[in-house]
Amino acid sequence: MMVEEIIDGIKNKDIRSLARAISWIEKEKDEGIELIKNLHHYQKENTHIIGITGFTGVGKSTLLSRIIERYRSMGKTVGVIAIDPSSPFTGGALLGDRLRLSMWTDPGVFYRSVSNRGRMGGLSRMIGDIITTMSVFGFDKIIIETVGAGQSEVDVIKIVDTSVVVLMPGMGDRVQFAKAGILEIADIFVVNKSDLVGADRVRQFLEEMLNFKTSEKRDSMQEEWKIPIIMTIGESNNLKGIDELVEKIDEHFDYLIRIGRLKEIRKRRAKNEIEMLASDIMLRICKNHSSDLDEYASKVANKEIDHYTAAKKIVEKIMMENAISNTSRYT
Amino acid sequence: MNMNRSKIKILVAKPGLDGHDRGARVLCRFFRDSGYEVIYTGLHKTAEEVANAALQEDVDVLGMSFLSGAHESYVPKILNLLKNNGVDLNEIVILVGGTIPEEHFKRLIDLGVDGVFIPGVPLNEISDFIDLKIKEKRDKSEAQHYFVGTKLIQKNPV
Ligand SMILES: Nc1nc2c(ncn2[C@@H]2O[C@H](COP(=O)(O)OP(=O)(O)O)[C@@H](O)[C@H]2O)c(=O)[nH]1
Ligand SMILES: [Mg+2]
Repeated sequence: MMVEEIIDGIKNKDIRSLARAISWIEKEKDEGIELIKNLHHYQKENTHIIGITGFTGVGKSTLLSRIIERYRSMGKTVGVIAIDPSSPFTGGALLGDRLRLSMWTDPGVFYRSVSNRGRMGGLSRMIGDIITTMSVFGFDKIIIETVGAGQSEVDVIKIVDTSVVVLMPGMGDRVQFAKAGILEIADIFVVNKSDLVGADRVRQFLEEMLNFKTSEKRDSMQEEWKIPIIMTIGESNNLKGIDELVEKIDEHFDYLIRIGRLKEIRKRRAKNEIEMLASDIMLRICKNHSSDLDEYASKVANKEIDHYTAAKKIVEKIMMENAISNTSRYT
Repeated sequence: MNMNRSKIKILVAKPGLDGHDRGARVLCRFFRDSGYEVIYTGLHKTAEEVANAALQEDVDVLGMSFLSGAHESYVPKILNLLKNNGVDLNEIVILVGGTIPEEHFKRLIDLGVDGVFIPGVPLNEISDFIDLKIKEKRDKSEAQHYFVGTKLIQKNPV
């Protein structure tokens, strides 16, 4: 299928086209780059990008399904990207999150599983491109489920607008909180499985931590977002906290728009992406200069020159040649 | 690591009312351990649910498992739904597995199924067949293989 066909399809809400476009991005095909180049300006202004993060088993996929149901009852459309960890040994992956989805045939829900594993480009860049594509398709909400383990997944959480961090009782509270990297970027905390004992203790821990955080920075002029802690039950006959959670997620988005933060977040995301791509291009060019690399490598090995100077010299040489014109993939 | 397989996405589906899915789960783990990306639907899926999952996930391989004879109604229904949604069946590998009577093999192949596997076929024969079919479909090759029951057949099915 041609890139233009797919773009037209996406603009006309054709599921097949969207699915294929995401495959191009996922499989790092040249068509994927062509696609983004020709499609990015059709992105909707106010797509809300939401992250759901937390250890395996806390109930992210279950909650996600409840959140989708809620949004659908409000008439909002939802695109989901479920990032599943893959087996580091075989390269294979069992993407099991779809199991918990309740709405498989609702045309207002699009669900896509993605594995997190050794890819040439970064995971967050790939997810960023999928978000762009889904935004053009026109979903009101794009929700990303990820464990948030490792740098590549933390980078993904950094590109969302509203980050929901899910915890549960009895997983070794202190261990959960030790994952400070994720706690710092939470906009909303959820204590799921609040039907189990120990839920209140998790809440207490969070409250103490948040009190500590707010006392740290009190003098800011900007309206502050008060990070809520929501107690939920995602699975049983008496669900709890789902409506409140969805309300808070939307409140957070309104807050971002109100204080002008959304534009800032979009810009930060773009900056990261440009930086990553630019350094990719530089690396590629550098590797294309294999004879220079060899020459300098010998010199460094022979202690004629140090590697800092060698690297600088190669970059200088590349810039002189303006070698950027030789790289077709990204230009 | 098998980087070729890691870009192959397989949907393992359980359409219908089968009571258990032990076989399907074993297969999922085998596929994962062989280096593929696997998505499992879980039990009791309708034809629409399976087709929609295959469509949204844009899978390379659709494997459907049946224990109770439901393949007769589900397979044509699912394949039709895929076609109606613009999926080119020549682009994906379609497998049916489980307790399938021998006299149904031909009908399934005629519907567009590439391989029919009955219990007892060594799992690595399934993965070998997947690799072969992916290559055939990608290269749009003349030679076409089918898997019927327990054996690999070239060109003319059954
Ligand atoms: N008791 C209880 N179990 C839950 C709740 N929410 C989810 N679960 C169960 O927790 C397990 C893990 O859920 P899942 O959504 O797959 O977690 P994920 O790995 O974070 O996506 C499943 O067996 C769910 O049925 C809840 O609120 N209470
Ligand atoms: Mg999950």
